[in-house]
Amino acid sequence: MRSVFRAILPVGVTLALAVGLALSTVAPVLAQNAPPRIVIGSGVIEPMPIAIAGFIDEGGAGDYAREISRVVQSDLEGTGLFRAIPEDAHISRVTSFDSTVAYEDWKAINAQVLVTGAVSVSGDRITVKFRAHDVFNGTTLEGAALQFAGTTQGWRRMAHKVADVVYSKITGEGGYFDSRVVFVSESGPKNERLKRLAVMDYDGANVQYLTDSASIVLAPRFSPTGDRILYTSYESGFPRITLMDVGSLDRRSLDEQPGTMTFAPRFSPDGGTVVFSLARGGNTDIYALNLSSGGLSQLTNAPSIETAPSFSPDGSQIVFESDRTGTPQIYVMPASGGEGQRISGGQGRYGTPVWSPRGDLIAFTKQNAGRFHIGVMRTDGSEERLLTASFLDEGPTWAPNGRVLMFTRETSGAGGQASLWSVDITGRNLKQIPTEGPASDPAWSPLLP
Amino acid sequence: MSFAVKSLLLVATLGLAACNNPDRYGAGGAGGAGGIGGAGGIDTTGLGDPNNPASIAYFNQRVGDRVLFAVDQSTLTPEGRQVLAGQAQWLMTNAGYAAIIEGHADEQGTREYNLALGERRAAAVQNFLISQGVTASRLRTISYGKERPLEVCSEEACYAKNRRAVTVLAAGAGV
Amino acid sequence: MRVQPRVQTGTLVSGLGHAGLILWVILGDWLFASAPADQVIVTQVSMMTSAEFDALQAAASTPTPSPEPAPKPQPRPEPKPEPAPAPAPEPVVEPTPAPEPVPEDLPTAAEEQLLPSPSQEEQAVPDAAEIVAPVPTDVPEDAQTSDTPTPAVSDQPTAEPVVPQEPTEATVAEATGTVLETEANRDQTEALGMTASIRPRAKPERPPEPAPEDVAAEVAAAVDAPQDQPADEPAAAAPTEDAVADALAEALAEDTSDPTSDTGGSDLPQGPPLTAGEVGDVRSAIGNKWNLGSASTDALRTTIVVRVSFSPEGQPTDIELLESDGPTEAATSTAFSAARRAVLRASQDGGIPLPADKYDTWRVLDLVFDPNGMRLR
Repeated sequence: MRSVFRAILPVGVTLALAVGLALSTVAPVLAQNAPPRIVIGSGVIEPMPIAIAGFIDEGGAGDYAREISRVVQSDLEGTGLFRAIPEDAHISRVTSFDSTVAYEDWKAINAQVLVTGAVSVSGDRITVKFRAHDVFNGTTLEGAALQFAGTTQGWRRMAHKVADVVYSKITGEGGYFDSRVVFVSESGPKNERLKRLAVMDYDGANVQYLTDSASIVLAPRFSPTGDRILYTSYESGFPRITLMDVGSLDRRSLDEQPGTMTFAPRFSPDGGTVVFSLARGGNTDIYALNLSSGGLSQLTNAPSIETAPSFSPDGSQIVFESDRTGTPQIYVMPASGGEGQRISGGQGRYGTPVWSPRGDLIAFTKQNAGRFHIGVMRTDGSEERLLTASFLDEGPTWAPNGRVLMFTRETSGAGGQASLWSVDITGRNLKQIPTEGPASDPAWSPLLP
Repeated sequence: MSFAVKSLLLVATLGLAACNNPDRYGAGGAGGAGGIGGAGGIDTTGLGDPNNPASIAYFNQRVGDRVLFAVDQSTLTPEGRQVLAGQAQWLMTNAGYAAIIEGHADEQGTREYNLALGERRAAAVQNFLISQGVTASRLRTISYGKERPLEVCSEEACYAKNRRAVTVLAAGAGV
Repeated sequence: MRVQPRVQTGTLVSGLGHAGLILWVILGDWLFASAPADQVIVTQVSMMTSAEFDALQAAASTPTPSPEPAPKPQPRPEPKPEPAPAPAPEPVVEPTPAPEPVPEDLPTAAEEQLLPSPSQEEQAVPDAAEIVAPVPTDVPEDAQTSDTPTPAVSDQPTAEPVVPQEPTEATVAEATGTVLETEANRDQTEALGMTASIRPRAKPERPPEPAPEDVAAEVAAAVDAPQDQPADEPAAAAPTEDAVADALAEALAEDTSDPTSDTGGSDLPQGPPLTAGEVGDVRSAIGNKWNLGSASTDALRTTIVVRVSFSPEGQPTDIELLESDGPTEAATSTAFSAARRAVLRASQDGGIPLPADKYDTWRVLDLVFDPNGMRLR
């Protein structure tokens, strides 16, 4: 994976390198001898201190300016990777978006990145512009000076987009703030739980309900484009996979075969196929349904339970759960079906595998010694890491950038309730997502367009 | 007697036990029309007198409408087989009833796996009843996974009662 | 007999239940039926044109080949062909005569469309905006030297009224602690600070390279610099396999007496070698400022070599990326940014402890930033 340096250098870097070498031959200091080499193998891992200057009102912005900077800060701090320096500690005030930044003032409070912005509103149109500055380098982060325009209604999305850009410029990986999460909103006692579908912003804001709670609904999943949702509904009296258009809320059952139940649906990466479990006569196997042709194919054929299928991002493989050995374990098979190869190896029971959007990891639920865990492993099952532990944690879903997982945590006992939590794949930053009431089965959308 | 009492308490707890809608655990039948013929919507069937061998009350209480399972298992226990033999007998005697067999699991498992497990339990019951002579077309199965526990505590005492398959009668259906 | 009344009770309960449910259902439908739909629809707001979005995406995905080793020679090639009123102090973002392709109709249309439709309207071309910025046109080096009066190493940092700065301490441990309670997690927590990586590494077959021992020796040579290893060729010296790095680190940590060398070459300006102690001081001064807390997971497994030139006062005057084994350009860029920040911060906060009398030795240093030992498993 990591072989000789030069061999795998991307083009851009190679070029930079070439330039560097060319320079070195010119620079007298360097001549032909390599300078002493010092290996630094120990650094620190702590949130990066950043400063977010209050966004400036450039006309009619009113509360929007303050609210947008607040959301940007909340997004960034919420990752656990940044620590915003309180505004009252700022030495210099940014009074005009385009005035020169006094980098020394920001260096003095150890802000490593400074975000400045301005907001203007005209009618129902709002314009947000911002810059992210590399304080110690005294420059604007490349590509981090942008402007967004839209309706005031979407002001939170604009704040999320600002934060996404800042996040990706600093960390080098994609953001995930401008995204939504579909989940099951719960109410009622444990033995008579009422459930209905709802969607919200990734941070719990802007909740909207998609169904009433007349029938049990379970485990919704977004399509790759975020415009449709698959879920399991008891609306017909039996569990059936249902496809809903998020815009119109139109919905239909995908399978009507009597004597069967279908559940655990998930889209293929191209959105054209749905893989799911079909149970008939006591046996559950995995099937694939082509949405355009209606063609149904059986991907597994075993007397055991095969469920919870999830495609690899390239669509070539499917990871799923099977209890063929007696306890549920995780397997990977070609997208065309097959027996699959077991990848989970530790003690305990494994379920709900979900392939990372980056393709490198598989998140899962593990049950062992009376506890539940959310964990990740490489796609060959190696390097298993457990990120959480509680009475009942289950059903991880990946943030669009593959860095964060959201899942359901349920407390025990008669008064037990479910709530949504998220955790960074490094195991840090475990936190609860604020929801109005109990909630379960989160599924993250892709980044919104 | 204690069994009968317990059954009654269960009935009271569920409140809707008399309803034979397959989605009887839903919040209502309005959205649940469909399903198998005659079983959709809300149809009310009198429980009848438990002393009347042809009543649903008799089936639920005297015959026993449920069997329990061990952890992760869908294998019928000897006691379970005995109960089911009685159910089969009753069903063959009372040909006017169809039945929906509900499979359930305890909360110690993931949602989707438990759905499959519940279905496997329900199917085990269904297969046994058929083997005893009950016509297959009178039986249907459904799984609720861990969605509808009977007991709500998080201890084995409750889990044991939640790992169950319940035979729910529907008058006039089937055929 | 006794049972009968109870049965009736059960029936009653059931009846009430049904009645309640029916009512609930009716009311429920009435209450919830349409409301949700409207709300959802509202969600869709447009903010950018697809063109803009593309631009954004492009910008985002462009790994930004890192701030580059600032090619000094080039006299600011006025990069943007854009109509950027660069110098103008009040350039304002307006100049961005962006495409404005999508007219007003979209916003309204948006109400009919949900999540999918990216009915975006926007302007701002990244480049333009950036140019517009009152570019604080000072080269990093300049800023460094001029602004930071940090004296040479000898002057001693302590004397300075160091700026209130976040103490770089132990790190994360606490944060992680709450999260994990399992053994695995505990291990993780402990592993945080240091220790070797557990990642099974697929030993790449590096054909042309010398045997492991040789490599180790070679690198060691480069660092400890005993004699003349042909270190002038980065590629050759580069193989920073963890093992090697670790071994190296250990070696360095152990012998304090080991001098660090002359530049390895025979013909160059060379001063007396740095002692292991001096090397250790430099390592910790920079390491303490080397924060990977906001690095991508890819960057956390990227080892880079950075060449830093110093002024006689010990101020870095040039920092350039020499080598990287990062899986992506973005990872390399992030790793380089963190490394450069570490050097600059170390230089500012107390200075990098370089012995003034050995300037010829450290006027240029190659720093290897290898995070593999501190990465979370």
